[in-house]
Amino acid sequence: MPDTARKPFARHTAAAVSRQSEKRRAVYRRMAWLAAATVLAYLMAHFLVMHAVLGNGPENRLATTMAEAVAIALLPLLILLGYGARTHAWGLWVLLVLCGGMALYNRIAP
Amino acid sequence: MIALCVFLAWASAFWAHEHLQPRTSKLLPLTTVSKRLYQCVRACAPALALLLCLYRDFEEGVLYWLSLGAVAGLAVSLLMAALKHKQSGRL
Amino acid sequence: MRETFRVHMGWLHSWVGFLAGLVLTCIFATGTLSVFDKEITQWMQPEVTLDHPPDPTPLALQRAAETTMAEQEKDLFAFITLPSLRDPVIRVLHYDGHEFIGPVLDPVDGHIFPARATAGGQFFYDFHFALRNGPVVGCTIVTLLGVCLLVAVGSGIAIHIKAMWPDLILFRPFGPRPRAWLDAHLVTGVLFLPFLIMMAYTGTVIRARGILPPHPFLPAQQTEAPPPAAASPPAKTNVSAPPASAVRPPTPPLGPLIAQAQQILQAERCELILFSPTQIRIFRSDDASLFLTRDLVTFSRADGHVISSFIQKGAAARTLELLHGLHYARFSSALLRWLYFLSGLACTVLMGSGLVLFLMKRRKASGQKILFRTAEGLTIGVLVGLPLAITGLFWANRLLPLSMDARMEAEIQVFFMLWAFSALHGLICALRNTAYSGWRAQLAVLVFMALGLPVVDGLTHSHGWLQDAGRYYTLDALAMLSGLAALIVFRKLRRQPS
Repeated sequence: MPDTARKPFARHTAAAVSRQSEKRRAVYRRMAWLAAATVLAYLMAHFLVMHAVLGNGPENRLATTMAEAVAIALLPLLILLGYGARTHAWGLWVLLVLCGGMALYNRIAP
Repeated sequence: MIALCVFLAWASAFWAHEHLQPRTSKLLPLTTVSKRLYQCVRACAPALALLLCLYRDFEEGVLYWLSLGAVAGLAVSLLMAALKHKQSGRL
Repeated sequence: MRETFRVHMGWLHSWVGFLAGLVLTCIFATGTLSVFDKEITQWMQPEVTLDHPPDPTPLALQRAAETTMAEQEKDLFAFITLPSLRDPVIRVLHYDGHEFIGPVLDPVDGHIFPARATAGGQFFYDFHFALRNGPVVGCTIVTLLGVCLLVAVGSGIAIHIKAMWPDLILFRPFGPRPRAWLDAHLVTGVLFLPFLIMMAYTGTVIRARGILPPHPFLPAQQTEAPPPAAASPPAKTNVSAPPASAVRPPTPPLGPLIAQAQQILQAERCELILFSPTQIRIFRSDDASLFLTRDLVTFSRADGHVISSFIQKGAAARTLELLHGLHYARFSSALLRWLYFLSGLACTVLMGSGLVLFLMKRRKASGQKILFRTAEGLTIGVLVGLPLAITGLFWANRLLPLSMDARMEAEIQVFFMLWAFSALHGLICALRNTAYSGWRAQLAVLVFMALGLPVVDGLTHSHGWLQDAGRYYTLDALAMLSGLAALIVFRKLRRQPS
């Protein structure tokens, strides 16, 4: 006889409900994590492009386009880093530090 | 002609690679000599293919190499699937 | 619930892959067809004969210039494309917001072919890069999806990396269904990974400005210099021509100008000739090399003397030209274009198998949920509906009357109506829990239409089959192969219980 058939029905339903809500919470956590990683990675890419615009002037299309090429190469890698590196959220911390550093650098030394 | 040689070089490399995998060597066992030979083919054939592609067209050579390699891999994959199915049907 | 790295990446890969994949499959499929956009246009305009040498005569060039002036009188920004090995005719084109269309001229005597009005292969190109939604909204969506694709590919590599080497070409089509589909997904993904990453990256870079605008978002980031004015690109813009009332000077003979441009640019051939009130600009041919340059020579329209030449040099410029060249694939080599086509097909199969796998994995747990059924309905619309719509476009090209008003728009409407009907039918079947019958019904129609296309092509007597017929045999053969593939899938589905 299967083990589940011996357990009371109410306890089995409660366990299933709790597993479902735990799964739902895990999914929401992942979505929030992904959103945070995407925002930070996008900001980093934007600051990279702005660095080229501020450094070379807005009329230097070539420099801006090269910066866009580098930014687009980094964007998915940064998203994956921010989302995938979950131990102590070090991926998100790295992105935060990089973003902050880049923003400061653009402000101080355009 | 060169494209055909590149295709065949890649195909032989993929063939050798698949034969070296444990799942295939159970169905089709290898001797030590043939194992060494397959390892040599797997290492050298793609390099030869690259040289041929670069000789044919230096600018677009890498594109030919990668795409002919992919198509050869797909062809060998389908061939292997058919052969293994036939082999496992006989056992 | 296990919170491991592989589980997280698997979740990301599945959901980003499915949601973006519904549109990306269409983008990749139409992009694959765009590799042969000129050849498709030639199939769709059988009135144009192609058995000419690609060098235009002075008379033909003169007539082309006159036709361009006539188009400009109608306020159209028309330009000339010179004959090439791929397309040995002169075309006078203008941009109608979606495609480049216009009269086709004989390169020998310059007479205009009575070609039927059609969007041709350009339709697939426009759908591929802008989803037929214009350069702002459409391109931005496609660029965002390109980033999603790169994320999906990266997460896929992270999941599969350990088994990538030993299972390089492992394919078990005779095994259990989920395993067979997974193997198909993995084999195409791994073998065509360089192509996939290259096309996703270069395609996203080309339109990167749409998602990474080069100006600050916040006032605090503003510099002292004002933001740049939008620079007008040198070619292929929707800029209207000067008003008809403006006096246009006569055009000098184009033959000597082309020869001079070839000499200055050190190019075998030139391709594009743009006209402005005071200038004539002649561009190097796109198929000259892997690098897609926009090198040009500017001549005075009054007397044909050289004003300037623009040849971009430098590592940065060459890198960008290479990125463009790799994506646009305007190679002269037929073999390389066919390899691009096969690679594109394989990547479309990769995405399609990914969509099927997503549904298979969740059918047991969520098969009765309304969201799942909606997802399945949409998948039917993409995997069967799109090929159905494409074959419908080719059927419409052969069956619609040549003298019909707004014929080109009618062809495109047939495409979208068929696709919408397929998606609707798929959704209704899925929501009514009869998804299998939806798959089978649409596959049956696809088999009929794909296998019937060569028959329609033959019965409509649009062209001969002996001379200059390679393009018809090729496209009709590909349609037959698609039909046979659909027939195999249809028969497999019939054998399985609903």
